[in-house]
Amino acid sequence: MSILIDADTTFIVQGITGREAVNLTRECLDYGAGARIVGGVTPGRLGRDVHGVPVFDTVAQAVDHHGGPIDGSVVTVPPAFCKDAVLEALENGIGLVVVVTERIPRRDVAEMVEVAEQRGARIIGPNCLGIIVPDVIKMGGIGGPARDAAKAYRPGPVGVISRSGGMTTEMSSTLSAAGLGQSTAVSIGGDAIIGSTYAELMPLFEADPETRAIVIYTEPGGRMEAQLAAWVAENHSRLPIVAFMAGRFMDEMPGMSFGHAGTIVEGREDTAAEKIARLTAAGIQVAERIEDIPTLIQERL
Amino acid sequence: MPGTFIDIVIDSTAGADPELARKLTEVCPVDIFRAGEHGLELVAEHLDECVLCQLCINAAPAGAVRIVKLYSGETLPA
Repeated sequence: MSILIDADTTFIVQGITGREAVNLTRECLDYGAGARIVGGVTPGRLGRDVHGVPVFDTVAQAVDHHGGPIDGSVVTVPPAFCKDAVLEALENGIGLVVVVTERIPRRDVAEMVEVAEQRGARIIGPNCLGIIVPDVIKMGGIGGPARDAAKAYRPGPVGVISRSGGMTTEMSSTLSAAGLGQSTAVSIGGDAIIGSTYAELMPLFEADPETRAIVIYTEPGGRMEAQLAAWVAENHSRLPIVAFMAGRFMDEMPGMSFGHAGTIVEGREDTAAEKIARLTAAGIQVAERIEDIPTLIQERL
Repeated sequence: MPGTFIDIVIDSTAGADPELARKLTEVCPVDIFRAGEHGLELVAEHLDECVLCQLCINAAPAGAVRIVKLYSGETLPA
């Protein structure tokens, strides 16, 4: 099993004729059993195709052409149009929206996350690389070209959640090299407001019998780790969690933001030191180095 | 320049409390509050940086701080 997606998941790519989306589409089609990308959407491009995937002007046209509900969408449109694209997907019954686009205005992100919640849908991202179930399917650019993704990701018992797209692959690759595969890896996005946090994904992993441990990649900034610590304490999770905290040096540089927009640290609660203390108090093991993660997981399986 | 994402409404009595001003200045991760000469002040240019963490609401007495979402009209706490 897996979480969020499986071999039967159908999805579309919104903004499919853009350069990144064309590459992403190829990568998803080539990976595993081949993603079931049932359409792409770019207004004004009806009738074209991208690697054999038919292009439509609207999501409604894609749904009509498919002849039934579509499970997901990968949104790759420019920031100014992203909210409209996500709302269009939600209005057409799509339940899982992976938003790759970064630099979306914060009010737009807050609005689309709230609308998704109201409709019982889920957003992954924005500013993320998507989801991968090793050897089965990937939804988004996660892992890069199929050949590279196949090297980095292997099937196994570890669920991976990461604020960094690149580090999702780095940590999974480290696990794979040590013989520890992944059940599902999710790049949740590096922005300050995102659709799905660690704590919101944990119940899904908890319900997945194939997942036996969790690895998370965290950074200073934001309150997601505090939410995770609270979730673990309240829910007595069966899953051991190992975390890696990047950017510990940022504690010496208050007010600075590095890399992801969500890493800005101002308050005391979101420093690396405070987060490590909270995670540790909740029973989550914090790895000193990425290469320590496989051993820490093996000790807990 | 006022924000386009959220607005913050502060109860006038609470706004004059220097201790609350200090607390809100400390908890806000994006520096929306500052302690001024006459109590709590909002930093208008930081309003759009809000991450809706609600740490300010939790740190203040009930009803003293409210966040108005300009995109939906909803007010926090509900």
